[in-house]
Amino acid sequence: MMENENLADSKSGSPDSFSLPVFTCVTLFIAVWVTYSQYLIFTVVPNEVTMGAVQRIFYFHVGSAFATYAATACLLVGSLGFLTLKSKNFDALQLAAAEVGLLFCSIVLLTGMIWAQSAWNIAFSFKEPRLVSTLVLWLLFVALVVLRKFAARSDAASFCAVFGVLGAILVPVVVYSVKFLSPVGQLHPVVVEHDGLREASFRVAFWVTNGALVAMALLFIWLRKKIASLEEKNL
Amino acid sequence: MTGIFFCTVKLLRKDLIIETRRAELTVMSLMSVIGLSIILSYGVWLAGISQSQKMELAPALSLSVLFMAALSVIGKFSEYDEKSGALDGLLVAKVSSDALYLARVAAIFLLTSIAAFASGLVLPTLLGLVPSLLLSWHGALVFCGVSLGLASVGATLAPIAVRVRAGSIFLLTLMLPLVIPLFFASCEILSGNPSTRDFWWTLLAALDAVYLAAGLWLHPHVVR
Repeated sequence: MMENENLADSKSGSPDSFSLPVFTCVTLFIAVWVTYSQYLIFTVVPNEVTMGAVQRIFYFHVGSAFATYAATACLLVGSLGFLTLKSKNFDALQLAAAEVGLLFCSIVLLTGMIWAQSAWNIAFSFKEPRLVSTLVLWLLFVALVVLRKFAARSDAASFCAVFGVLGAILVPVVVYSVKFLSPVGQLHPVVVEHDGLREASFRVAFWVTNGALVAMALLFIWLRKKIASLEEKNL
Repeated sequence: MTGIFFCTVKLLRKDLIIETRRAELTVMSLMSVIGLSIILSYGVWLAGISQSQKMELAPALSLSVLFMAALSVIGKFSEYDEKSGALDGLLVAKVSSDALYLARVAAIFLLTSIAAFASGLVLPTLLGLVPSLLLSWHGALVFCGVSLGLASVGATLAPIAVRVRAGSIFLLTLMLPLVIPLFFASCEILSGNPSTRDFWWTLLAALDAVYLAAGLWLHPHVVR
């Protein structure tokens, strides 16, 4: 009887199906990946000619931006999934994506500001559409996290899903529309598309760090989703 | 389709009849516009800003005033619905959710347009400028575009804010990230670089379309 219940739980993907060996292997793999990316950034990659050591923040900045977009995609999937299927699993995914998205978006903003202060002598400029669109994304994540805390338990899931859909569909409109704007007067560099990473070690460090940070964000989302599912089960 | 249209018109008519009898929302939005315009223009006067800088600043200030007025209108509208139970009654009567949403967007749009007209008139006058925004076709169109965006987002999010703790503050928290792109696009059209104006027009139109379409789909999940 007990075995049957466990089997049913694992088939439905409930929190009980959380597999410790898989989690340990995945976490160890990502930890090694992240460590290797740090090794590349701080020991292999040479100092950039114009900006010097500060340029190393670029790897964290862009990698965190990719991680934020991955979290936004999870947010959209979670929100749409909840609204169409009313499954608590999707609600947990949405919650996890919002919190992890807020973390990585904060890193994007902070590293961007540090870099901007060094490169342009100004931490934030409203003349730069990419900075503004990141600020909008950060506000979206903040609103989502606060909404979850302020809404009644019975309403929180559907309210957050509605706001999550609205927010997530705004992101590509705002972020990709910037590409159609004239580059004249914009401060933000477009490094990858303009083939700015000419040195091979720059390119390797860039893609390894991007992959590591996105994998780390997905691991965080997975973990937070499991925690949310367990909390839901215990309440 | 025709059914939804007629239902929307009837619901809008109901909202407007109630508003013409009470006039609460109109008076509230106009008073917000006048109050904020006085405060902002006094601040501009204190800063000793030149006439040409005032002309550049006027659209952004007018749009800020419009946003705050729209926020009060949207919040109050949903408060009425929640207190009177009118929305629950309409939902029990199986009125189409699309019609409910479109009627609410239209009602907020009309009231916000009044606030937009007032902010385009009062603020420049207090700043000592000619209210030229209202006289130019693109100024009027921008105010319409912003009002439509605010109405679409507001009609979707206001029912959420009403049922959340600290609802009146919360509406601002929810609307802010969605409204900032609208606000920036409008400011850039009105006082930005003329060579990028086409881009900002497209963005404003795209945001209006996305918000309206998403609102139509999401509204039933919010009011159910």
